[in-house]
Amino acid sequence: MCQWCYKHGAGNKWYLNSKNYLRETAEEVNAQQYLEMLWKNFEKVYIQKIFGISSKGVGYKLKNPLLGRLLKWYINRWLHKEKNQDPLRAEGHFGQVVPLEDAKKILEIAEPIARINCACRWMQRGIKDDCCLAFGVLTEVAAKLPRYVPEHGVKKLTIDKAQKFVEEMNKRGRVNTIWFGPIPHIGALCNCDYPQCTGIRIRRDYEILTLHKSEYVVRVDPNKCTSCRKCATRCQFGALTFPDSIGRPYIDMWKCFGCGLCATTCPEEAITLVDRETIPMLKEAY
Amino acid sequence: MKTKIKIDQAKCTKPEECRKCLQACPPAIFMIYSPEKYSNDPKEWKVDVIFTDLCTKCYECINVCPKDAIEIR
Repeated sequence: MCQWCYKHGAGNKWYLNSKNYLRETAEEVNAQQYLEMLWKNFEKVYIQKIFGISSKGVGYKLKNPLLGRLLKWYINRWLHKEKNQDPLRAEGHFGQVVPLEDAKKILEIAEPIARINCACRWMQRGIKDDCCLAFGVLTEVAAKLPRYVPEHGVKKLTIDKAQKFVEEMNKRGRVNTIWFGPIPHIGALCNCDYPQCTGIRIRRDYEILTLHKSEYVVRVDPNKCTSCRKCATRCQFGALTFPDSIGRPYIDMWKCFGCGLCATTCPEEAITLVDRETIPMLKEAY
Repeated sequence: MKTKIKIDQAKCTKPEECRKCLQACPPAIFMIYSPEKYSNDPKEWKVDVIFTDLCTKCYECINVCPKDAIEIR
């Protein structure tokens, strides 16, 4: 289990600890005010200056061996800050990939649940897509901000409807991610895809730890695989390829985020999720 | 060599309505945001480029821009 599970999981995974969804927890970390500031200024927070350095063309700066390392260290330190978090630096706001099974379990304990427009897709693509599932305080915060309110308003979903929705999203190839806002309070379950999702984007392209790999990695059972290639189009992380000569998927386990998209599409159940902990070299690789 | 992308803000008058470059760009390097603190007024929103290093110079954005506001060097 990851370090946040030990700290905030009460013996379980952090996102399966119902305490992290409670209003009391939200009040403890002042989540209402935090989320209001963060979501109001979402775009500004994302492209803020760091050490007075503009984030325009930030990739060039991150490629610089010295400055790049310093910047990454500095940004990662904020993102994982546990106390007195500043919403305008997104302190304490990071997420983790979750497979469909866990996403469904999350929806059983989070309350209330409502669909809101994805902040990333709006700022990166100009699309209003109500694919994010906001929990608790965030449903109230988003309802006050017009750009996040879906066409038919912020409506509460039943557990059953929410679960069907993530299933459908998973079928369509979305990666389920769960987000702290701010740690240890949990704000939302998103249905992301690269490159529109700014979390996946900066993790994949710049190795900034906004989004962590899931508690699982996938393995392939070569005896069950029938080479149907259905999994070949599913990976968003560049971890799965389908080499013709071996006739089954090749999964780069170092790159695998454990989202399970390839596993849910496999008709033969040849791809399965295994606990990251069971693989010695990967158990610390979040 | 670093890519330089310039958006002529005087020509890009209604970014919130248009958004063509955002949707056309293959690596999604554009962003729409309010330059000052959060504002509900669409007139204050503008389009800018953030991930310049990921630009492949495919000129897709220049082709779709109805106002000829984008310049890539």
